[in-house]
Amino acid sequence: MIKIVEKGIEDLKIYIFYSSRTEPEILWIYDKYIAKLKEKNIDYEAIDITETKEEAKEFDIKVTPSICLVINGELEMRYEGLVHMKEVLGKASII
Amino acid sequence: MNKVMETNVVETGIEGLDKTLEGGIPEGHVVLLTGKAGTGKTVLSMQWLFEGWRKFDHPGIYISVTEPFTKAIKNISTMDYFDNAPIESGDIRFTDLRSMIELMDFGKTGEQFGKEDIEELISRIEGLVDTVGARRMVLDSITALGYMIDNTELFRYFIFRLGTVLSGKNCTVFLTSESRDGTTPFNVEDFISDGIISLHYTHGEQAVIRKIEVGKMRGIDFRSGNAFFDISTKGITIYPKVPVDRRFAKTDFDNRVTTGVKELDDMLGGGFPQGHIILITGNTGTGKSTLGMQFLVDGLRNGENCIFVNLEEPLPQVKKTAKSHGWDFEKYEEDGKLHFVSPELIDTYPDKFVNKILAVVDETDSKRLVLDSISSLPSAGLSVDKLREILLQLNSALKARGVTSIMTQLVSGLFSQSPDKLFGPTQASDLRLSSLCDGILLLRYVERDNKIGKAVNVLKMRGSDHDKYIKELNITDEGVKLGGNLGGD
Repeated sequence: MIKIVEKGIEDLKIYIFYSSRTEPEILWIYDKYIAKLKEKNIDYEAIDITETKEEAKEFDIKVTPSICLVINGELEMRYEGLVHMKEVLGKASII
Repeated sequence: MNKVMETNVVETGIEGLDKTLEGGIPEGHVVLLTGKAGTGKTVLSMQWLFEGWRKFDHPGIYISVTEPFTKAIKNISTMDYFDNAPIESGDIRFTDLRSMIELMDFGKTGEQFGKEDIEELISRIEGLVDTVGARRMVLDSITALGYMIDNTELFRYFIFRLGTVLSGKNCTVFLTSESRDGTTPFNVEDFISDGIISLHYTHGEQAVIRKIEVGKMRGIDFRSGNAFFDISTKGITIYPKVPVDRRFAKTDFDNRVTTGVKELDDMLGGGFPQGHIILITGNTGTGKSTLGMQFLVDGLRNGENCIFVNLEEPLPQVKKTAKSHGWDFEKYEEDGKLHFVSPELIDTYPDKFVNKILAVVDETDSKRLVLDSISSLPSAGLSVDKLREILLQLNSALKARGVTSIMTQLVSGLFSQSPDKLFGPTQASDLRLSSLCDGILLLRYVERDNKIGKAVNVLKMRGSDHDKYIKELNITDEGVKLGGNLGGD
C-alpha cells in the first residue's frame, strides 16, 4: 500500500486513460470518485486515447481503461482494464 | 469418465453445463461459443467468468470487440450471478480489443493487419493475462475481430497463437462466434478451436425453446446431442440429458414401503418394494389421487420427506382434497417435509421436466414421490413417444436414487357396458407404459347389485408374490380402505 499522506498529497497525480470511441460511458462510472479527488484537491487527468496518444505512449499504456498513480513524478501503480476506482484509491490510502 | 491424461479438467461452475461436459473443460482450451444473435452467448460467457470467480477464485478477463463493455455490464447487472466485488477488486477485468488496437503502433505492415500486428495484439492480451493472473478469458466476439483482420490465414493464425500462448498459462478461453445455419463466418474458427459449444433457439407455442450442444471438446468424453436451456435472471439454466442407465437401480425387494392402506400392504406382502415405480391406473373418480396422497401421508407421518408432482388440479384444490381426509398438507409443507413441484407443461420437453423434478428430489433427499397425473402430459401437447422418454428418464433417475414412486394415470373404458359382466376391460394403459413400471394397480368401477362400486387389483408387482384377488375399494373420510374379495372367496 502506498502511504500517500506520508509522501504528501501534492506529489500525487492520477491518470485515467480511456477511449471515447470504444468506452464512451467509462468516465460516468468513475464520476463519484473523480468528485472525491476534486474534494481532496488531488490532481487527476482523464486522457482520451482517441484524441491523443502521447501520454499513453509515455506510460506504455497497452489497454484501456488504465489508471496510473504517479508519485513524485514516478509511476507507482498501473491498473489495466476496468478496475473500480474505489479499489485503486483505497490501495493508495486516499479513501 | 474423462480420459484425459495429465490434463486438468476444470468445472465451468455452471451446473448443467458441467453435467453435459461430464465434469468440465480441460484447462487452457480455446472454446468456440457459437450461435446466432440472441442465443445467449454473452450471458453464458459472463456467467462462466463470474461463477469461476465465485466458486473457484479464478480471476478472469472479458474483452469486448463489438459493443462497449459498460453496456455489457449493464445488461448482466440484473443477473443473479453478477457481482460488483470482482470488478471493484480487479479480479475480473473488462477491456476492449479495439482500444488495444488503437494503442498499438498499428500498420507496421501497411493498412491491413500483418503477422507482426497479430503478434503484438497477442502479446498485449498475454500481458493482461499475466497482470490479472487470469484463468478464464472471454473474447466477445471473435467474428468481429475476424472482420477487422479481414484475412483468413491471419485470423486462423490469431486463434492458433492465442490458444498456444494462453494454454501455457492455464488460461481457458471462450471465443464467442456468430453463426448461421450451423456454420461460422470464416469457416476456420471451428477447426482451430479445442471445443465448440453451440447455442440455438426456436419459437414454441408460447415460449422460446433454447438448445445447447457440445459439438466438440478435445480430450474428454461428453454427453452428445442437444440439451435444453432457459435464460432468466438466474442466468443460463441448462437441463442436461438425463441418462437412462439401469445399472444403478437401488431397488430393494426386502425393504417394503408401506402404502398407508393396511389391506393393500397385505396384498403386496408388506408394501411396495423400495425403489419401485408404481402406475396407478383407472377411470376418473376411482381414487387414484387419494391413494397417492395416502402413500405420501404414510411417509410424512414417519418423518420422511415427500414430493407431490402436481400436474392436474390447482394446488389449493389438492390441499383442500387432502384436508377432507384429515391430511394437513399445508402444515407438512410449512414444516419442510412435503414439497410440491408444478412444472410448466406448455412448451416443455423431457429433459427440462425431469430435471425440475430431480432437482427437488436431490435437494430434499426425498424417498417417496407421487406424480399426479401422467395423463396431463399428452393433453399439454407431448406426444406418446416424448411421454415415454420422460418416464424412461424419470424412472431410471428415481430408481438410481432409491425413490419409491407412484404415477397416476387416467384411462377410459374400464366401466363394464355389459350387465352380465362384473368387470369391464382390463387394459392397464393406452400409452404403452406398462412395461416401464414395476408395478400396476388397476382401479375401476364395478356394477354390482344395481349399484356402482369401486375395485382394485394388483395387476403386476415385480419381485413380489402379490395377492391376485380383486378387492372392493372404498373412499372414506380417512382415505382409501379396502374391503373383501369381489366375485368369490
